[in-house]
Amino acid sequence: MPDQPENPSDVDLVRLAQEGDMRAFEELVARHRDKVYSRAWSMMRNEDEALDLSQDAWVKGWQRLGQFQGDSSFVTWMTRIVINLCLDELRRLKRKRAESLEAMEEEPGGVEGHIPDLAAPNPTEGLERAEARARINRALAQLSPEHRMALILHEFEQMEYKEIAKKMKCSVGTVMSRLFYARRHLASLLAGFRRENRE
Amino acid sequence: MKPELELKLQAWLDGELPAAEAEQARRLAAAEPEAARLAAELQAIKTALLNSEEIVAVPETREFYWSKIERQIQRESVDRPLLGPSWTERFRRWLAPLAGAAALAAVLLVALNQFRPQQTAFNQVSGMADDYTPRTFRDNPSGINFVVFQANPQPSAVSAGAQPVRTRNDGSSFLIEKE
Repeated sequence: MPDQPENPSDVDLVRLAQEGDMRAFEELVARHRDKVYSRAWSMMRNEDEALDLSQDAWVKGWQRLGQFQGDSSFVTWMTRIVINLCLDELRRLKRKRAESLEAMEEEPGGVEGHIPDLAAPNPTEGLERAEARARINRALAQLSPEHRMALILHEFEQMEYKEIAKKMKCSVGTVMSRLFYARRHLASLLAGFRRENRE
Repeated sequence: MKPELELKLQAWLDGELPAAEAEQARRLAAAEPEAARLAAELQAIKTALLNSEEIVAVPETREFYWSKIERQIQRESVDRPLLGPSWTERFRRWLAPLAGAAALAAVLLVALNQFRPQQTAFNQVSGMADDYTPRTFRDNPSGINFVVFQANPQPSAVSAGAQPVRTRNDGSSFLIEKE
């Protein structure tokens, strides 16, 4: 990285990397690797897959740097790349496993029909922040990949229904249904954890 | 509660409804206890998820994590160089205007050709034979020669070996040659 300031911004590093400076790119990886890995991990719930996919995302990021126009932050751009890779991988896994459960989940009266009555509001109320996070994390892990994905894209990536539908290659109605049942399932799981703790 | 109403309540909480429908959903949540309970549960989950995402650290050292990325980049760069703007982008920037200009030029050429008067000029090239007076006309653009045999005023037999001709009602005959 020739003649660069002591603490260059992402914009400076991206510009250098776009000129072929791999050390600048390495610095970008070092800065944002946890964020990109976290997104892969939250979607895949598997350490090895998350590692592979996050690294693939960085390789793709390098190859497509010329297309980065700075419309969003660099880390947002990288996050979108890893999300796309995770979605592709989940689709591939789904085809491979031919999950019959997924078809049931989308039908009225299927698995989702067994969600219990409305849980008490504020399922994490009164919990320490770390404990609340841990419980949410545990509950998210128990959702189906499709439900978890819809929730992550909506709540963590702040995507609108239309955008999620495009990413997940499904209809807006399916997105709404997935989000609804994901939330209801999550509420039910969190209420269950609360009961477990009381007993 | 009907599934459509449940999804509408959710869409209201997610800010995905237009103003008029959002007002309907708000009224529903205010008027019906079941709708109110559902809205409260969905809202509670939204609140719980807010800022609840954990940043998980990469379970590898910086050097090891990077080394795998670097190796992959080097391996793939042998096959393909760094990507610049995508081809669709390049097309939009350069090729699309050029293609548009070319298309316009083609349309203009065709239009001009359509309205240009057809120049099918037949010029007499030669004349021969005793009983008939052949006249040859040439259409240069199409490369066709028209040979018209006009019977002479004093009729006589067509000499042996003469080219077969077609006779028109007016007594003239013609032969068409294509080069």
